[in-house]
Amino acid sequence: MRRYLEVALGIFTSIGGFLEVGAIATAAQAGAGFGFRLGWVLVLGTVCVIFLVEMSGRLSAVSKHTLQDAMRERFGAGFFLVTTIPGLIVDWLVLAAEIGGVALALQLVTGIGYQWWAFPVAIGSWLFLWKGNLRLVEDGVALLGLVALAFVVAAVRLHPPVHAVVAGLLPSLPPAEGTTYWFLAVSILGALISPYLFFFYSSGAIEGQWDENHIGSNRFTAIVGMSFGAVLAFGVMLAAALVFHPRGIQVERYEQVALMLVEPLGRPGLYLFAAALAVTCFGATLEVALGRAYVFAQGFGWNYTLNSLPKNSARFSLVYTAMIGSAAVLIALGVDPLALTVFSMALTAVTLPLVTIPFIVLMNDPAYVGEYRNGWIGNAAVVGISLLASLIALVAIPLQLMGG
Amino acid sequence: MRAITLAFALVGAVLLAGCTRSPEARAEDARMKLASWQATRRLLDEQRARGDLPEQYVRQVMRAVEEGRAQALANLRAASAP
Repeated sequence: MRRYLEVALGIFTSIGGFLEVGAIATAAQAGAGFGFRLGWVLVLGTVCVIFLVEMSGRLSAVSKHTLQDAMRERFGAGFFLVTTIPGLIVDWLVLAAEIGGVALALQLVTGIGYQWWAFPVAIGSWLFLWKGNLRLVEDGVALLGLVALAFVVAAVRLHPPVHAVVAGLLPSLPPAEGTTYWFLAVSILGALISPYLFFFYSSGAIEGQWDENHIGSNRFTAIVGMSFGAVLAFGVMLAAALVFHPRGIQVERYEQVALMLVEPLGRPGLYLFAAALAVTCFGATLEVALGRAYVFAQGFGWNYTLNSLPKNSARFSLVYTAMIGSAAVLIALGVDPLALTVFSMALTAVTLPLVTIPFIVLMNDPAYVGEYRNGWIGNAAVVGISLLASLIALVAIPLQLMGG
Repeated sequence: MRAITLAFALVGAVLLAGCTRSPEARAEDARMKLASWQATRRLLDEQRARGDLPEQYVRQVMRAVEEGRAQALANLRAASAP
């Protein structure tokens, strides 16, 4: 039973943290704009996120510290403040995008504009955290999130050409639209390698009282959970590549995206798309809000747990309440959710090294992980991919903003 | 220090190069977006004819198509203006 719960944590993390509004939007745009050519970025991001999630669980299991807790202790309060501010801004934008994703799903099935759904969605998410516990959050969303398998079913029913799909898994240079290609590449990496995922996962490991006996199951859940998320995201990319790309359709509004599931699945495709968008974004809303609340609580030494009444962790509860409420305002004001999503994912890529580099230092420090230190492959993969994503994002974001 | 300054100068040069898109490139971009919205409309019509789409969703996509086309046309005119 205990092992089941650990695997559920991994799968929940993969659904809420891996496949969410960012992965759906960027994978759909990539498939529509470039066919299968950006498949390799999904592979790169998945490899990196498997390493990072596994490290988050290992760090907590061995050191009994959450990631944020260990960072603050190892690098000091000044470092905590310097890295927290950009992280807070990025997480706030990502949270708004996730709330926007749920709101848009509701718009698709009701016809009522997404702005009107911002506060109902925010209140629903907040109630889920306020009244629920970590197990409800994990299991409830993990089971509902299985609806996202519709993307894979759709991709299979569209009969993708295997040779072209496999060729897309190998890195390639852009055909012509260089700036958009690289901007989408870093947005995909930002969507997949989200720092809130590691903060949430390591906090969940502490709340689950993991120890060194959990290292094997942690590795299993990281590999299986993240690979499962990657398959779902790949399904989105394939469906977009097979429906939109041959017709020359670029994805510029969420309203277009559902058409890619309607083509292979008929009318149910619309409702499956809306359900998958709503559930995965709802899961990510909970994860981002909780992840940031964990960061603050662990950084400032406050009480934190989702497994007791909010009054016992008042400041922790206040952080996720404020995060959700303020992010909902952005959507209620009518900010374009798709533009916000892609931009916030690219910004996530810029800030990646702020988390991953200190994380790697911790994972090589015997004072924290003892004999369970990182190998050179894990170190090289994480540092290389996150630095690459950040550097490309630093160049691609201004170019994209200026119409490059 | 000199290397850092050089790196920033290089990044700045790349960004400046990216800012100065030719009117032809902007017009081509607008034409592609226009074609994309027309293709979206065709796909919508096909799926609607098969009875796969509820009317309230069709209205949402039609509105998106109209807004997207208007924006693309405005961009095309701006790029073509002397």
